[in-house]
Amino acid sequence: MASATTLDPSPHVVPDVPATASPAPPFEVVYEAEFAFVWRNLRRLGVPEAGLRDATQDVFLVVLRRLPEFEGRAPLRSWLYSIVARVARQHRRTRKRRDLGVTEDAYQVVDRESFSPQHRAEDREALRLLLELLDRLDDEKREAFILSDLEGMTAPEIAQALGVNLNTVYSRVRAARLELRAALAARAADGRKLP
Amino acid sequence: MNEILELDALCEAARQGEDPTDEDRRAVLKALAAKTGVALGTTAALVVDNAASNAGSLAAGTSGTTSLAPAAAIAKGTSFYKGLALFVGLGSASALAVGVHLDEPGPRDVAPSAPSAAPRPVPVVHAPIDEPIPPKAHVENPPEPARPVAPSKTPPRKERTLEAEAAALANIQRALRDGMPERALSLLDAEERAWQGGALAPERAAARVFALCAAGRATEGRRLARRFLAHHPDSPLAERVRESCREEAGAQ
Repeated sequence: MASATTLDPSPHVVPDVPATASPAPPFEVVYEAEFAFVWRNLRRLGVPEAGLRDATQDVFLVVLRRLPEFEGRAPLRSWLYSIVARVARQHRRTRKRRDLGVTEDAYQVVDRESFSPQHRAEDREALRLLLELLDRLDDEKREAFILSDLEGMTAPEIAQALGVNLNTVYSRVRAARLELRAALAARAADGRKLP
Repeated sequence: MNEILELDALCEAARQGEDPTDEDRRAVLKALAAKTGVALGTTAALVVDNAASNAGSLAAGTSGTTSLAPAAAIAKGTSFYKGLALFVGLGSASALAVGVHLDEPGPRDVAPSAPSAAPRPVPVVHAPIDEPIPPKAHVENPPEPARPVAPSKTPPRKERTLEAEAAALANIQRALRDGMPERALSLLDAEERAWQGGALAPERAAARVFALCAAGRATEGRRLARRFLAHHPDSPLAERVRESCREEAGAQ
């Protein structure tokens, strides 16, 4: 996976964001281009299927309000993800208050057109399993892992999104991978059964 | 699924099913517009839909009644029109001025073509620049001969507004009501050539079903009806799409 190289901790220059990036793009453009990014990452961060529309709306309300402040010092997606992560935490908290814990449908995945028809069941199951695994990570590792291994962002971009330094990014991603691989291995040892 | 034990492979497989549907995009956009009082312009590519080739519209097919969904959309488009123009036109500076919790304007019974409806003040939009707003709807599709309540025609805008989309939809529905399904189809084709997707794509998809059935092309109509029902099972138009095609198919 590309993330293995993007996170190579060999010294590399943090690219400066080009000066042309400073004017914020129009809201409609951001909405159009980044709706899917916001949507899938809210889910990866633990917002259940049923709450995705509300959470996505909350993210774009913040974008609508704060886009003028976006100066292009960080990539747009880094900036967006910081909003996504905050909204996801809020929604998770609300859910916990309401349900006193994770409910059964927390990892439910509905059938969507985006699944390839021939692999529909497998893909859905893969997503369900991944969401469940991600839920075992703490927030910090989870947020870093998603950006590196699922979004393929570079370590400097992740650092900007999470507001931490590069070394922290590397160590969080490494730790997340270790935990997830261990969980997968344990699952395999359990007779390859899903819970 | 038992085969997926590698983390990378799992991530790869999971990615296939993560994207939102066009319904999700539309629903959130509409909710945002309702909440902010800003009609967020739906650009042509906003809701690119692989079903867009059969986009179609609401109602009018068999009965002359108008359906709920577009009426709401139209009302929204009209009353939020000023907000949209301000937002799109001024970009970053004025966007700040657009409050986030604006009062949601109540539903209004305003047809897109009603020229008497002066632009209503949008509740909490305090944009610094008072851009003049054309008070009337405009259409982008080919001119239609002699229509009694024709929306005034102004040059097409770069950004497609919900209002313009609704006006185009109204033309299509009028053709259907007037028993001109072929004309409705050609309007729909023109619409699809010019604009992929859009907030009213499901309404146009339904209109195409009605038009095909009315034109005696039941096989095609049924095929698109099935597609419509698969993509928009919860649409307020679903029932009519189902019925319309059945009637027409039986008539053949």
